[in-house]
Amino acid sequence: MIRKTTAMILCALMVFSLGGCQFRRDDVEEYDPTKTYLYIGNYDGGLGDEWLLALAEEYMAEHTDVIIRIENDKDRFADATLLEQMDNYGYDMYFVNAVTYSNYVARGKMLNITDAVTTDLDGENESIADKMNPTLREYYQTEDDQFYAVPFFDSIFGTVYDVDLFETEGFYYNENGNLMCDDPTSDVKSAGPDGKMETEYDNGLPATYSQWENLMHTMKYDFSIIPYIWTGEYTYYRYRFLTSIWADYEGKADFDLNMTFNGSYTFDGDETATPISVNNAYLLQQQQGKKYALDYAEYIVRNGLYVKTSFDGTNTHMMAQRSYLDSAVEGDRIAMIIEGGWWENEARSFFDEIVADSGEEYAFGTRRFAFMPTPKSDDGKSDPDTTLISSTGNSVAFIAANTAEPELAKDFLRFVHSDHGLRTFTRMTGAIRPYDYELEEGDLAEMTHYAKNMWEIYHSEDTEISYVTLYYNDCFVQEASFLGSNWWWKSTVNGREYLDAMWEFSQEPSLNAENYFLGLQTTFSQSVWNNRMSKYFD
Amino acid sequence: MRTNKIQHDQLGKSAFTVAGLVLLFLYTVSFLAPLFWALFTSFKTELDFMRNTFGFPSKFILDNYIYVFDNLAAPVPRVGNIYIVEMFYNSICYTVLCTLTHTFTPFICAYAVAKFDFKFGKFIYGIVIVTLILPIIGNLASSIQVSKAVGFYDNLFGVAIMKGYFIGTNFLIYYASFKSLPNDFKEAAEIDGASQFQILTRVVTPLVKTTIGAVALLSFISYWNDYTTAMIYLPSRPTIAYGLYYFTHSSTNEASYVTVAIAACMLVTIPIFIVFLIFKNKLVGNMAVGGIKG
Amino acid sequence: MKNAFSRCLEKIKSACYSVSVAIHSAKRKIFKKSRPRTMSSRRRGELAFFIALVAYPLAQFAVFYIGVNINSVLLAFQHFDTGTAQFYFNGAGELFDNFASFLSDLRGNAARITATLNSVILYVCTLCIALPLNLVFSFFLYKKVPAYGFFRVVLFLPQIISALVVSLMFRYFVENALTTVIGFNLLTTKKTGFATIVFYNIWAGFGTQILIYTSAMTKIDDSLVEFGELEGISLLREFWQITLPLIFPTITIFLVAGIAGLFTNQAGLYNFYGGGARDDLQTLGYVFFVRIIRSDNASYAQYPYASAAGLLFTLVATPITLAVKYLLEKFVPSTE
Repeated sequence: MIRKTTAMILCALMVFSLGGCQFRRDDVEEYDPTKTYLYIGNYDGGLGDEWLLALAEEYMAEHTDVIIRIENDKDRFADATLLEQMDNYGYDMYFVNAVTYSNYVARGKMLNITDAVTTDLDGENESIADKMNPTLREYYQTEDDQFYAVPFFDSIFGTVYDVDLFETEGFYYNENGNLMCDDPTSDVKSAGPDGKMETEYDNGLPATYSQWENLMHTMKYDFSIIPYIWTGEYTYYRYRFLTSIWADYEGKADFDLNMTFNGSYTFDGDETATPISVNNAYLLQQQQGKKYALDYAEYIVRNGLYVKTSFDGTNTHMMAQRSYLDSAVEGDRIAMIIEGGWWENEARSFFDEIVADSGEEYAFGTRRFAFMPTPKSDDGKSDPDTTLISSTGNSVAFIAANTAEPELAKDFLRFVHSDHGLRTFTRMTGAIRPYDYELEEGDLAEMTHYAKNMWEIYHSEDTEISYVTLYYNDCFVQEASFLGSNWWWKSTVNGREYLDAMWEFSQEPSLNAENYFLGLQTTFSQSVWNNRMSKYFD
Repeated sequence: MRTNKIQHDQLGKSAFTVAGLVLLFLYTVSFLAPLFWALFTSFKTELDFMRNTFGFPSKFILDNYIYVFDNLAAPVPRVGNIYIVEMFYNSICYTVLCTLTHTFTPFICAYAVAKFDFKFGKFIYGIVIVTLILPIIGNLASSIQVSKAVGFYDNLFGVAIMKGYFIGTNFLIYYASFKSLPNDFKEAAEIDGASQFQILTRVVTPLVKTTIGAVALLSFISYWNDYTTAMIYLPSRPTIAYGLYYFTHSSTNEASYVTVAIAACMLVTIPIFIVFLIFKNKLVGNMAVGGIKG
Repeated sequence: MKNAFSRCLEKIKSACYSVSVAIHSAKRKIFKKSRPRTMSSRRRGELAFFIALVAYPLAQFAVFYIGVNINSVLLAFQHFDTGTAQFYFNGAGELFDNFASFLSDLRGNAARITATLNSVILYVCTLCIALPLNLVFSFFLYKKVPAYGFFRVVLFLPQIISALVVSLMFRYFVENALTTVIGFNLLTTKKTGFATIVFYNIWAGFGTQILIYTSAMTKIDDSLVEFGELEGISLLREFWQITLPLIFPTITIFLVAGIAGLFTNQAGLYNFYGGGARDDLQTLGYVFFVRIIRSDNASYAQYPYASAAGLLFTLVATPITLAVKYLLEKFVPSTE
């Protein structure tokens, strides 16, 4: 019996290995030696690849001797993996969502594209560098004035709310400062957190912490609506949410100190500003904006204002998006989701699934969502401007140093960064590129309410963007295990360490915003700081 | 013939029996419930799953399986994606080769030690016992380095050789069954003029073939399910087990649904389950090992 | 990755070669002889066959067990230079740096302390809950309870179905289905998280042990059992007084070999979470596994640290193992 079985297995193996050459592999199209090929690696996260395909088509129509091949992946194009493996990949250029720029430059992985970036684009009297967001231009221009990459896309991160729901249930504040559902005497929206009527995107939204609290309370107890959902798979969604509240409280200039370690800060109760450098950056853990953000976290978690699955690892960001969307059809309604600018595009196929099941009114583009800026503190200590955080300042487009077609790649890069290329991107993905360009009526007509809302907030004069994923200061790269994600929210209370404030509040009754906040200063006490960081001191 | 069958009047008489049976029953339920839940889930649409997590599918669909069959893939450096059929093929190659080395190496070694009276044999037996007792921890890094140094890294045959230790419980299982064979057959065969090789292949092997079968089946199952070896040592030969790991844990596939992930689990489990059902009777009573005194 | 090991390897290769040459010439000599059946020539024939049988297993063992472990010890005294992508031996002053940094992690790093505690908890639970359950289940299978054929398949299912599949199904079932029934998530709740992992390890750990225990039980002399039955002893007493003592040598193997598991058991966490398990769930085995599995410089840089930790673990585990073996043999009366 055994011998027979073995024989059978061996025969099967032989057959297999003889016929084995015809396994299905990804199609490789015939190589045409008369054409020039450009291979592009694209990180197809929430943005997908339609926009890039469309631009490549256009480019190929104009340059018939060129063939552009786009390959999508996420794992292979992730920061550390790409850095180690890109010599083996053989793509000419990349559009990726996160890189540690200084590492790539230091290891010579990126082609110097200064000429392509700094000379005027065809038919425009501006260069790519001219159009670039100033913060990012300063970041991507190396000390010897060279460019090795250009910023890819920008997205604000924070709370997204369901406009349809807010309108039908009257969750906006009116000019009297009451929720419309409680006070039907006026349906004129309040001025919102920034206090300005002319900026419509935040009108009617909670302007202060107490208004926000009141709104949450009303949703939960008067309407049985669950205020929040977020993903449990990626903890950084929670950190970033808290960080966005903190950044808005401090304002861009003060908040950015946490990344640059360069400037000065007036601490709570102080008369004069304290100069901040790497020598004393641990003091920044006292920024009151952190306490303000932790107050939100404590209120949301302790009052159960979130969907129970929000901390589950199986509740991926896609699952959270689906639950959020499906709540309009079945189950408990969810009002808000913690997400980034890309989410609506990412969830697109699920919109279609709901449409197939429940009807056209749930379609992508028909349902309306919008971004909710952070309410200001009741004691008036919040910075009056709106500060948003972008988690994608480190997303870049760049050309591989070992490309066989540097000129072609540069030309395509310039094409993608022409006003037309930039517009096409925004029209098709709803996301924004950190460059100076205008949309046309036709573009806006194709965009969803959410995309238009983001565009409006992003370009408002009252808005500033802080890039939380940029390494302005080199010690963040060198001391990744010490600073890394710890630097933002790692607290030590009674000798125990906590990183994920929202989750910890749900687990540890003894924790609250107050002791968690003080614990941040324990984690980064003066002695711990000196011990580890003294080698970087001035 | 056997007296160890439980007497029916013994049942229900003692708390021990009742407790044991209840535990056994509870365990069965606890294991089969998620299994059936998963089976049903794999036939649901994602929307159905989200709205009706626990119940039967409101409509049975095969789409998840079709999706898995088309999309279950793992990337190989410089080649691109490897798809399900090729991964099954890799799995078969990997499993068969490793099963062969893992069954064969301890077999010949245990035979030499059990049936030949040399001092060196005692020494080898000592090695087995010492390595079994001596807990060597944390040598994975070194093992990866060595495999690269000898050229076995990313080499199917090399990895199979690397995995084919003679030490371990398999040696003890063979050793116990060789020891239980009387020595006269060997002498008889020798008198008949059989060579040592013939004795081993023609006389001894048939006598212990059930043990070989059991060891082979166990190895087969464990190598079929092993994804870490393919992940660490065989970057260009992803097996179906690794493919499943990649499919369910990679961020590239995170867009896929829970129902799809579960369907993938089912699809990978079915072949090995069939193999087990065919051969399960071979697993009875051949796996005794002796003590470790010595 | 040219290192000390490669040089050693060259030497081993040449040594192996000369051994094989020696064996071949010995064989030739032996086979050339005519076949007068003297004791000594038969002995020599056996010796040749014996050598032929053990040569390959021993060579394999020499490289992949002894070689690997020697290299592992050497690695513990090296460091990886990311610039040149090479391993270098530490200088005299920092010879024990890897050990020192591991020991300071063990003391100061809260996550590492949790991992150590978790490993101990998991080990104790496996010993005190899983082992008795394995034995009782095996006994019932051996006594052929009603539907034992069915139970046998069920108890072996966790071995047949890939651990990855079992853990994924377990996780989805707990997080998606069970949560809707009990109202909270067993895995993400801190209080129950690790307990759930321990439960999973016991629950999904049946299979091979049962197979081997039932095999050992069926080898028990029928007359002993019959004698017991004539005496009218209860099933519990039969289990306790006849079965258990008689299969104890088999149990000893698992007890003794299991001690290393204290340091190597990664509790299936890699199946559950890939590289991203929460700190409060990690075990030592998991911590070191995820550090070195990726084939990149970041991973290589961790090799020496992991090897140093492994060496220390081995030094701790060996006396424990030997003590356990000694005690088991001393205080548990042998029935052989």
